[in-house]
Amino acid sequence: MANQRVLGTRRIWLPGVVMGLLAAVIVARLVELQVIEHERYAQQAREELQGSSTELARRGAIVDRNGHAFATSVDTWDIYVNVQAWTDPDAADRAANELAPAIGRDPGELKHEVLESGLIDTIVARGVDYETGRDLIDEHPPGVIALPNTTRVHPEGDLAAGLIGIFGMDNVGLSGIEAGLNDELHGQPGQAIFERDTAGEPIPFGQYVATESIPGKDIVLTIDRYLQRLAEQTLAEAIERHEAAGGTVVMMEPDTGEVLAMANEPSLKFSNLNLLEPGQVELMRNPAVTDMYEPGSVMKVITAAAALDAGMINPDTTYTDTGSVDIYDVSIRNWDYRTYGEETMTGVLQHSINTASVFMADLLGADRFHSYLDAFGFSEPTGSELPGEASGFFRRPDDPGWSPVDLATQSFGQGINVTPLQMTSAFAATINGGKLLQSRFVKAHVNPNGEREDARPNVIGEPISEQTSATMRRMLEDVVHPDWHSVAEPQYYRAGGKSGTANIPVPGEEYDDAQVASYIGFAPVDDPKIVILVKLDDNADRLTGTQAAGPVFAELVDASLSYLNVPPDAAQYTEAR
Amino acid sequence: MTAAATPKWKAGRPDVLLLALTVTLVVAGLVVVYSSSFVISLVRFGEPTHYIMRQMIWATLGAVFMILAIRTDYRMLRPLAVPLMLGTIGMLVAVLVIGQEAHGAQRWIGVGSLTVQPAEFAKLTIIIYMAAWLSSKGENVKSIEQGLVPFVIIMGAVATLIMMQPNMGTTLIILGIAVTMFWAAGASIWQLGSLVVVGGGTMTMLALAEGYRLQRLMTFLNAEADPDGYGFQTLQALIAMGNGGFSGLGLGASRSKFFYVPESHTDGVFAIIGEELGLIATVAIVCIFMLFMVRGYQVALRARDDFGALLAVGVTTWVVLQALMNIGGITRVIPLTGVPLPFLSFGGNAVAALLMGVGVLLSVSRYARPPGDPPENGGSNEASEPPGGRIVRRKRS
Repeated sequence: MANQRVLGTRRIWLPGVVMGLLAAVIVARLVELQVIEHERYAQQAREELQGSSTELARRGAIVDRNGHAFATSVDTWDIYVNVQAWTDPDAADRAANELAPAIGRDPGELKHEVLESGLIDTIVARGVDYETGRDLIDEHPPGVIALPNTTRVHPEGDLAAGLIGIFGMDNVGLSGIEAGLNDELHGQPGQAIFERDTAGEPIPFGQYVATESIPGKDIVLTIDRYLQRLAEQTLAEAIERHEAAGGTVVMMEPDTGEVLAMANEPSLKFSNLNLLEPGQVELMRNPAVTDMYEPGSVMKVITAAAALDAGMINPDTTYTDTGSVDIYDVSIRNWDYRTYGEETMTGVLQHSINTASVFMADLLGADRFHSYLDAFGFSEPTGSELPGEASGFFRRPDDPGWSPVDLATQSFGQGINVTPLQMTSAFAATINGGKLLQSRFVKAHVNPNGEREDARPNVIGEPISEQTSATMRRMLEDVVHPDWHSVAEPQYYRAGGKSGTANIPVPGEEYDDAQVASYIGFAPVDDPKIVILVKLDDNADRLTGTQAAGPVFAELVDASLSYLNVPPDAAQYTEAR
Repeated sequence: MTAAATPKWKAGRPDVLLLALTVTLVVAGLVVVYSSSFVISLVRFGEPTHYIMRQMIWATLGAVFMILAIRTDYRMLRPLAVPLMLGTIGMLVAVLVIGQEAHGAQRWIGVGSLTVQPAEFAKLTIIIYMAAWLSSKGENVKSIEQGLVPFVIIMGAVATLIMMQPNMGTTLIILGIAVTMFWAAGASIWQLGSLVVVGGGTMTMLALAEGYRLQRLMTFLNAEADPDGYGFQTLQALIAMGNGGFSGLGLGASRSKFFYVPESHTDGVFAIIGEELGLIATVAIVCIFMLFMVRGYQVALRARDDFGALLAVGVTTWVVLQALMNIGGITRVIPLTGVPLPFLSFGGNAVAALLMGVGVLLSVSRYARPPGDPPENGGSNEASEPPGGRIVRRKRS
């Protein structure tokens, strides 16, 4: 009978023993794992669980001297996807369907991109606005990580873009003020240390230690947004009018060294920023401080100031021009090939006589002339907050290739390279009472707690005496307002200034056809409130500095000083009062 | 033999200790399945309870099956053995044809939102079939033509079907159960030896032929060679248990279930238990399964007929062998084969099938001789035994 016991079921002791032995080995193994080697495994667990994350600090804002924002950071999110969580098809579908609409993507495409990226964390969206990011965090789709970040917004659009500059995704400045004042702006990143899952996210009930990020300082610039816009628009119009390749306008407060406006063209534009385009990287430079040019006759102001200060000449010292000066085998002529005969030193500046500035430099001698150039700041960067400042260059007697011809040409601004900001700063020293001030773009730092630290004017040196400076103001006034009508004369203000027309140094050819037409001046004459440099690069109409840049200077003086509420002082207006 | 011809036996109480062990495992299983699955559930389905809800439904269903099986005379199963076996083979073929694929294997048949894994139920039907077939052979089991050859053909066919899914873990379990039953039914030592050698050889060859199985074997030998790839699961499971230490991090506090231990709620659940509850729980679980084995085999020894004895051997071997293969694999005592831990791993089909199996085992226990009642006396039951069926025990449990 099959339903009765016939079989030797007792033989199950054998599988029983086999399984019992296996169980015994397992128990021994468990004791080894969980007791004997516990410390080693616990250490391994600690190591692989430890995660950290860095939260970039909110970057400080950049505002103009009156508090209008040029650049400010708003809270946004960067969205990453951890591919580990998306290896599970259910999780990936759910996550992609929830995430895609929020960042304006197609779910299928998004999934493909993440799974094919070959990265552990793929960034799928940057600068997602605050609300959208919060909603995503609440939904918490698998593998989707939202990291707080900030996005830079520029309320003034492209205004001052080249000056403000840009910074990278690592919150480190790349150009302009963003780079020059990166240490103040970027703040201190916060750090979190936590137990993480395999996607790197904190485990909800794990340990968590975090230090808060400290926001960067706000920077109050010396720039005035109205003057900046005036400078940019006026420059753009002048470039168009004279068919120039580019140009620069610098406005400076002569008593403080504060730059009120700095415009360059061409310039970086926030509205068209793509560093992958070859030409755009070039635009990250601010040519007003990084690029040098030969100032041409504008330099005669410095030569004259030096000769006056050294007591070699006075405004009425006369010089008889014969049309040329021979130095060794080189004959130096006047820019217009005219012969002026006997002229006072004021007349020399009015007519911009090259031979007379050679005469002045000769009176000084190379060493003294060069030490004046040093004192005016032409051999080192101005010390402004902008990155990449050039230091200027001119050849000295000890330098290889020196020839006395160098001294002659340097006296009228050729064979000497300076930056527009150096020229502006030196010119300001000439007319402000003789003080060379550090050029500044920063008026104040504001700490996150609202505490404001104002920067102070910094006198670097006194290249000339106050008296020399006063004399220079009179002489330069006569240049802008000569007995005849000049196109550089402002309508409402009495100004002083000097033009320059110089050749652009081109590698290979000593002097090329390209030219720089510039004008630098100040106003009002009796109490200078502003120094303005106008420089037009390679104007195709070939007008001189006075003809091309002079009217731009005049226009800018009138517009800027009336904006600054400076009462008009031109003869007809002072009489009317 | 038909059910009508079955002599009426007086039914006793089911084995209370086995029932208690089973209930303990099921309840503990619900706790650890929830603990080990809520993270992965949250990530996959956006809610923590996706897996535990399913597990609870299946466990309830399984409990109903178990109660029905306990209340049923197990001998009713005997005439059903062949139809059940045919049905099982049909399902195993069907799963290959219309089954759903997941993780590179075709193991599930969908019925609405419900999926059924025929291989889980196949374990039980094969136990029933083998018990019926072996007990009908009597002493003839020892002969090659009537014992070994048919056994190899039947098991070879079933194993082939399951290997085609592919599902090596389940194949190994089924073969292990069948060979144990074959041995218990009286196979000679050389039959057993040749089965182990031939079966082992075939399995090894299959392992070497399939890249990922070979990889598993290599991983077992040297997981440290590829800690972030093939060795990841092995090493992370060890870290989890090692980190748990003697008393564990606390229930629910596992860090490893945050995707460090893959399949933390199924094959890897033992590692999570070790991490959260420590050596105390891991050793306790091994002890529970050992106790289950001793008690289950005692039921087999006390069973009133060969069919019942073989059913008891089969079900007990199923539960305990599968548990040891899982735990042995996770603790790296043997290679990882990818079988779930009975009652404790997530898997609705598995828990329902297991509860049905335990129900059958408990049904056998109801008709068994009480402990201490020598088989010669036959107790209060009517059935008399032929002399050849006497089981002589040197020692009583």
